[in-house]
Amino acid sequence: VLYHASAWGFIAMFWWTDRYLPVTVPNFDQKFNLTYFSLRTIEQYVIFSIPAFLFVSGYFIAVATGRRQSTISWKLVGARIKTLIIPYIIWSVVMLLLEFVQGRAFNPAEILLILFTGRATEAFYFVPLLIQLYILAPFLVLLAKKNWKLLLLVAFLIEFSIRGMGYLFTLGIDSPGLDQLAVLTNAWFFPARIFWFVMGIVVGFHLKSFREALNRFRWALAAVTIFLLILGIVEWEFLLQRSGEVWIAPYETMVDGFYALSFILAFLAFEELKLPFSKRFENLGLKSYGIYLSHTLVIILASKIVYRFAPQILGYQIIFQPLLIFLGLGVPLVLMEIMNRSPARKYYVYLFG
Amino acid sequence: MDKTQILLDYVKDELARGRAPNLKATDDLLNAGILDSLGIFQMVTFIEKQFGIQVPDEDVVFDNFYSVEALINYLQDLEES
Repeated sequence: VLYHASAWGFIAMFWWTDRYLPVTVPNFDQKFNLTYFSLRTIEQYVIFSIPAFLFVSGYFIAVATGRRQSTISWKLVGARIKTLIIPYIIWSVVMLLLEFVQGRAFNPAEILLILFTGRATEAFYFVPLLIQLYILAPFLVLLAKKNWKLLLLVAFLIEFSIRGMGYLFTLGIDSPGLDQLAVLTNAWFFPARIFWFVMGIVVGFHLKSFREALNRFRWALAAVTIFLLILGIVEWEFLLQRSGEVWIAPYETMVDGFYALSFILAFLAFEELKLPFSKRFENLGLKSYGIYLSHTLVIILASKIVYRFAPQILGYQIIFQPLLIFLGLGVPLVLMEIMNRSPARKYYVYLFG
Repeated sequence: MDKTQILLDYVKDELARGRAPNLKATDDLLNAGILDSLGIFQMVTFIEKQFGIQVPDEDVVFDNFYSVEALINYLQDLEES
């Protein structure tokens, strides 16, 4: 929610500027001001979220394997995919209908491709990605039981090499065969995010040892995490400048990957630490799939309503951001609660997972 | 009400949300798709709150959570130890 709210914040600052200032758009006069860096900090801070989701999913695979089974059953894989895919298709169709109403036409092949690659909205790539990882899970468990260190190393090398390739594309560096490898950088394709899932499985099998080892370095991990957060912000400005473009579509760099890794390890190391409002965050976490699927639509609609009816708000991120976050979280939670208390309750899982 | 019934009611009502009205204590919750990553976490929180039993993270595994019956056996072992 924070990530997408900040993305709409940038749209308001640079592409919708003419709604509250006498300028032509796009207009980048507000770049590098305090608001810009505040939004960048939020965007950078939450970049650990998809790796963390994948880590938790991998961890669940270790839990579902248990101590006696050699690997997880295909029945469990099927059950997980069913729980993920039905709400995903429903919300994807809703997003496509929204675009259709706005005048975009689709043919059946295009719709299938959109569903297959999670492009109904930017955030939805996560579901096809997770489904691929679940399909690989029975094999990954076998490998994790055989040689977890090697598996972790290979997964790390695959993912971080792909992240490294991203720099070449951003900086416009041409290299033989690079175009053929470009498919690997797609976020919906499993090699690009395999490390977090594998790490979840491995940590799930060796939780106690990992915790004990990490606990000794917990303050160092916290310091490294903060350092990498700042480095990620600086790195992005550097890449933006070197790309020669005024703006480039965000993607996750190697520094972002190290930040996410450090964040997850620090979280494990500080596991005993009770944070304020942790119960509330836990409750939100339990509804995270439903929030994830439905918040994008709410944020898009809220942004467009503000653009049309109250454009002055776009010039004040201090109002616009809390509004998007409040609605992006609040509306899905209200919808989920209404459904949970209604006679249609047994269909809840098909809408919100 | 005994623990088995409390857990069965909880699973039927909160995790399955009415999708499995005939659920039995021996039914496989994971392979039936009733218990997922978030569901297991929810279950642990419920057990800790309802029965005042602290479940170590290392014990949250398939062997102890695959059915209500397995969970009851695990909780008995935990209390005895």
